[in-house]
Amino acid sequence: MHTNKTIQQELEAVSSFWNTIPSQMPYMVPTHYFESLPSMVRAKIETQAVYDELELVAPLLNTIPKQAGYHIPVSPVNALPSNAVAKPSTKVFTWPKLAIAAALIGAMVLVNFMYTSQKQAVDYSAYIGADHQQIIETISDSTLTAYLDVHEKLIVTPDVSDQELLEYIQSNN
Amino acid sequence: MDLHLDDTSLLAAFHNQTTKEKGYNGIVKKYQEKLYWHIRRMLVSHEDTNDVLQMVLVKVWNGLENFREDSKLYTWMYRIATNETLTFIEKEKKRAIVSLDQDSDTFRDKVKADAHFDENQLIWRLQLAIKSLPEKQQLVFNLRYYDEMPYHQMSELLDTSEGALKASYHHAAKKIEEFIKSY
Repeated sequence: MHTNKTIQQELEAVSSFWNTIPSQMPYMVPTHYFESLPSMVRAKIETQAVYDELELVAPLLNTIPKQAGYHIPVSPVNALPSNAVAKPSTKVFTWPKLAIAAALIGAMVLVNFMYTSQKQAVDYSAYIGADHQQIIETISDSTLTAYLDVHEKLIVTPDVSDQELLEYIQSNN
Repeated sequence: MDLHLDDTSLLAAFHNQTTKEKGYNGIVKKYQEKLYWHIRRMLVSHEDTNDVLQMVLVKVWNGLENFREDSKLYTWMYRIATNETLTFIEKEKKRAIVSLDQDSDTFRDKVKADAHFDENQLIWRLQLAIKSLPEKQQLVFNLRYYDEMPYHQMSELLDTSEGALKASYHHAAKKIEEFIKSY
């Protein structure tokens, strides 16, 4: 019922029907709504201040949604808790370690080179000191003839006459 | 901030930079329920009311610096709330036209959609009857019937003469009575 008698009397003057009508509102309000409203309004004031500031400087930006366009890829690994995934061990190379490794590799390459070059070296002193006449006498005549047959063919020029050679020289001069 | 402080003390606290927040919170706590019900009676839905009320209180924060104390703080806040509510209703009407939903009465439908709605109860029929009135007449009826606002204060709020408001209220009361009797 109305606390203000004047208002009640005014309605009764219009019609006695209003005596039967309760003046309470039937709508419900969420619990603790009025306790939390001042803080909600404070938050809105802050948001509004940010919006108004941008509206003065660059209003276009206020029309663009603020959601980030980036996406985090979805994979089974990402879905697992971090402690369930075994992390691969990472080796850290420091400069002193690298220098020692390089020196060792260099020494091994040098030793290998010296060893192999020693094995392949020709003993020229044996050739210089040899008695060539005696060596040739040990070789049979047939072997020598066969050698000369092969090597003479390599040395002899193709079948060109002296006349042809002379003409060729004269024409190129 | 003490809720029982008078408006002058609350405004003085607001105008002091060190107590500005406290002064504003005091004003909000003092008037939030009255403003809430003023808006809710018009919009029916709590969600819509919450949105509009928050907008009203933000406007109060922005406007309090320039508030001239030649009108009552209460009346000034009611005026902001009334304007915001009527703007919201206009938007809802336009939205209904765009969605080709002209046949439905948005706010009467919202009354019926309330979880506790019971058309056999007089208290709910009264809400449906109020929703059958034009918005301005609803405002006048609500301010007088529920808020028990004096005509001179309502006149200041709605920029209408006291005589016109009184006629509008009586006319609204008769229409509501007819609606309920014929329901």
